[in-house]
Amino acid sequence: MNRTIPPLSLLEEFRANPFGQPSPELGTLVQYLRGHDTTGPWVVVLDNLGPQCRLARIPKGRWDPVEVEPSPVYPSVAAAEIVLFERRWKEAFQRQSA
Amino acid sequence: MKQILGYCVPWSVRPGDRTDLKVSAPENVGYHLSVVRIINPLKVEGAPPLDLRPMDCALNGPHFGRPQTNATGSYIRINLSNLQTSKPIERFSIWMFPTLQSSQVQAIASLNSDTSTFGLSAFELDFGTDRLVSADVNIGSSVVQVKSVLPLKLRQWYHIELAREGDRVSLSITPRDGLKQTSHADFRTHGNPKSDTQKAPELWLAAKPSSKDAYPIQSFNGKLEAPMLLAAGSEVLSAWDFSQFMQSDRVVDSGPQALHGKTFQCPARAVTGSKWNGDVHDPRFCPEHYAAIHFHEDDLYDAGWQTNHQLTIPEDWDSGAYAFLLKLGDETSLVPFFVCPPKGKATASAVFVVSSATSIAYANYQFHMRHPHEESLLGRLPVLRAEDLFLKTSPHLGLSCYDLHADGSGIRYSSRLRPVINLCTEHDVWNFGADTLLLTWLQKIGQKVDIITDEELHHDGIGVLSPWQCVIFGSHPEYHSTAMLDAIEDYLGHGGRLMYLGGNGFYWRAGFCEDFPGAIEVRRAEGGGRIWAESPGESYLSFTGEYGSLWRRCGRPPQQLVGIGMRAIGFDGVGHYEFQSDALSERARFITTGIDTTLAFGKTGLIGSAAGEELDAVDAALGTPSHTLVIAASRGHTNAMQLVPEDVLMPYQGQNGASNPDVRSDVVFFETPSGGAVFSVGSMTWTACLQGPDSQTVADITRNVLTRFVDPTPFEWLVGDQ
Repeated sequence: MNRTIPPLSLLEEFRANPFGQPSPELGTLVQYLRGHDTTGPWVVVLDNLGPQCRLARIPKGRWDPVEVEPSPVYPSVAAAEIVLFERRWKEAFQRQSA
Repeated sequence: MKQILGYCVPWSVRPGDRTDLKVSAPENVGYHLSVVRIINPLKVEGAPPLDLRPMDCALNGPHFGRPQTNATGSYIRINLSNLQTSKPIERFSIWMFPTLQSSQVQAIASLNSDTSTFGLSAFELDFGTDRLVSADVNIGSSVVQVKSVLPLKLRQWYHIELAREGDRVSLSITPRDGLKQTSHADFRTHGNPKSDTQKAPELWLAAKPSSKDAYPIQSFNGKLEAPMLLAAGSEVLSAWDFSQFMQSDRVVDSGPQALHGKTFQCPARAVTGSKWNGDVHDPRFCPEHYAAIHFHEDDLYDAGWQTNHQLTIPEDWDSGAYAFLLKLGDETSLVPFFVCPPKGKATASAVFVVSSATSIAYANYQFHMRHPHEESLLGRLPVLRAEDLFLKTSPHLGLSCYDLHADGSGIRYSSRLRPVINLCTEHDVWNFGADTLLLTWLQKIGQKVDIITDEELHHDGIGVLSPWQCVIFGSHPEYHSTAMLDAIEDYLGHGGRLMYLGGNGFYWRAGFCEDFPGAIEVRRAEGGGRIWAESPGESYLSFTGEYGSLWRRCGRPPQQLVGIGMRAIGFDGVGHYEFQSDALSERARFITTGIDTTLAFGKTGLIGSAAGEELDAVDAALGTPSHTLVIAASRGHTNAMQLVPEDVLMPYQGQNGASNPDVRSDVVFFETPSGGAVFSVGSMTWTACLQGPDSQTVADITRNVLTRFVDPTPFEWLVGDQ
């Protein structure tokens, strides 16, 4: 990964609204982070009918079970989206700046 | 994880017909069965309350379970009981095109015959985990193994010949475009003989029978072609020709003894064989180029569970959606079926067509868990539920036409002869789930409708819709056969009225086949939004011989039929509708009566905007009638909503809803020359906006149209093309 560290305002923009039409800068960043995440694919698994949910990873094995993170439990899909965005941000830029 | 599940055969029945319910539950554990009328199966925030109404039925009550399961994997089985030969079998040969290096040995062929102990009376020919071919041949009471030297390449044709001459067993492998390698037997013995005189004399291809119960095991992934059995002097005993009866499960022996066989679990036919060179793309014109069959370890046509309960539909049950409701502890499972009115008889002025072909195409869909770019396609993280987690670890339930086989090839066949977990769930506002919101709303406004499914539309064909004033298609009628389109066009040609309340409709051609009731076939040639692309030379349906692609590529684009066709796809739920100038037309007055056409509408519904997921729009070049009125068009989409690839051709910037005005849904109306009319909304989420706080305009438009469409007064043909 080699990208200029984006302004924290984009992190705030995503936290404020993880869905919907992002600014062009945030839209580009979101796609960049999704495209460069080698730990996924990621999904959200709802507890029963929701809205509580957990982050989970799809394993490589064709019929292997989805790897659900036992904790934390998020109050909404949006909250899980924000946490994953923050993780990806950290992975992409904190290491780069170190 | 899921302890109780089932399926019924068939899905659609008329009064007096029977449907058979097959249930799997833990051995001798009690479960409760009740037959219910589906009013609303959804437990979704904002949806009407769950409403499953118990029916009076003798089956209702407690029952004891027994577990049922099934194997997957297609194969061929040939009975050799009638094989007559005075000479021993000397050679077996076959063409092979392996497509997967597996962690398990894959069976190419397995022979058990009682012709002679001096020839190839029994052998197993395998494709190993190391990509070597090996044969275990019974020689008297011993087993001789012979193995190829060099590993085979995947996706290349090889001719394999296994021979016994005197005391020598040899295995020759010749690439179609390369040099032969031959191995000889080393006469290493394995102790106990493999011949089993208890077994029926049979040849299995692409799997072998388990020793216990003749269950297929060690499924092969790849193509096989032209298996032959020969006696001394190259006398042909049997030569199976897969190019014959490609639409069926028949395997024809063109040799002198006509020892025909049968395929199981619907392997792919009408696929390119060893002789295919790209000159011909339609198997009908050169069947010898299509003399192969493609087998997959995850093919599944019929799960074959035993029937636990039989229900004969009482004469007094109304047409509608019903289900077997299975309960075990806290767990429930809903197995829907559809009661049609008596044939040729309407019990309501309108009929709703359940898009069963589309539900079969999506049956047990796992694309959202397997596609590497699903998050970007959705514009958000995929959301999974317990059913998804169960499917992910349940290979015996099979996959959908949106998934890939283990060898990476696209899944072309899907059937309803198995549990279909995602047909109707408590939370899935998709396909039939989304249609239930329409059916609930129709009941709420007091509009009685009959129900039929695609299968009646296909099998009963022209005239099947004539009893009704109005036919309604729901949220996602994506797959249709030629006979289905013929029936719809005939209906419209005779003054019928059609309401298409969905998106991405009438998009792909689907094939049905009498030999495989309950299954559909899809080939994804040329273009279209698709998970996988068709293999070169394999664009024609084996079921029908027809070209398998978008209807648009078959000269029957949806715009000709319903005024609009697939334009964009995106799942972030953002957008709204705005009325267009055509809404002020006198011809549209009945649609907008009582509605303020200056206001935008449909911004929020149960799953986002009324203009969402998959959108259709007008296109004059593709056949939208020139007199079509565009009543409303969607606006405000984001970059998550993208043009479909068939409208892009050369990639360019600005294919998304935030920047491209072509990315939209058009709500349209037009009259037909014989007094009929068509109303189409072009959005998969329209039905999810019929109820709720922002539903008024969507509901008013739909009700206004329905009220007029069930009125037999002919529409005037004032303008327009013939």
